[in-house]
Amino acid sequence: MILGAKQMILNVTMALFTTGEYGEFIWPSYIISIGALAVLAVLSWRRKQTFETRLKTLETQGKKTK
Amino acid sequence: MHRFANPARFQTLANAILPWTFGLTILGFGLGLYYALFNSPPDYQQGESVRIMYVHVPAALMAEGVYVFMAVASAIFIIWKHPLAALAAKSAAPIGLVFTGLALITGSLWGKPMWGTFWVWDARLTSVLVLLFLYLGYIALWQAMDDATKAAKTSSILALVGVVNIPIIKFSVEWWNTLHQPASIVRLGGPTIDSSMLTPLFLMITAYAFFFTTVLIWRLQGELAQRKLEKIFREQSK
Repeated sequence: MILGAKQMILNVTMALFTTGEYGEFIWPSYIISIGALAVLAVLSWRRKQTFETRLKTLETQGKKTK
Repeated sequence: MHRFANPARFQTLANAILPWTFGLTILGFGLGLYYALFNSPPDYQQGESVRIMYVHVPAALMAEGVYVFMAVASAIFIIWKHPLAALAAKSAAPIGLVFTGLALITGSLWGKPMWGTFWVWDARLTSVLVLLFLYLGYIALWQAMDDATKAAKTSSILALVGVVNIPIIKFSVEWWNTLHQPASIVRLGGPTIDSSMLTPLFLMITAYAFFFTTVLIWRLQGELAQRKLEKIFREQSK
């Protein structure tokens, strides 16, 4: 079953890489687009998490000193 | 609208809608990519290269849409002095920058097989490049000033002045003789694209829109937390 799935993935990948005369331009477009959006999403989420964690830590410390 | 200018109310609303926008982003991309890559026909003229349109068009539409959002938020900040509006515009700028960059890159990857060149200085491409510089200028203005209020005011003016470029982008293909094809989706007589191609395009546009909403909320929440931290540090140093 795993071999069948592997073969299917390989077939689909090969088919996409070789589609059309200029098939090579399709993959880079998708990889760049989805990759850039994923990086932006991760960076934005991590930035939010970092500041919120720092804020929580500071607020907890503030409560303890009071 | 004034009710949502309160950061606490915004946080409540944001936390309620975030799981939905995140889920719809994943679902939109899943369905959109499936239709774009596996369940849509090649174009009779463009062949398989038409699939690049499914990532190019949503990026281009969002690049313009995000700038309009920034201009509206900036106007709200200037008129009603809502700091949250300025922060919303600030948070949207990097997302708009990425969308514009993607529109230019994927457009040139499509242009090479279709036009025989990656780039031409035609009105549509040049006006989108100007939009990229406007985003860069807006972000640079925020970074250049230590005083947040001054930075918000100056960058809001730039966002409002720069919005004149949006109709130029939209109508550039009608006003000038360009290599870029005229509007085929957002036009008075309705879309001229076949439904088999309109479905993946619509799904991808929806996914990009939900992606923008999700990331905008994350960035805005980050900005608010950063502001609170800075306020605490300022009070402690007094």
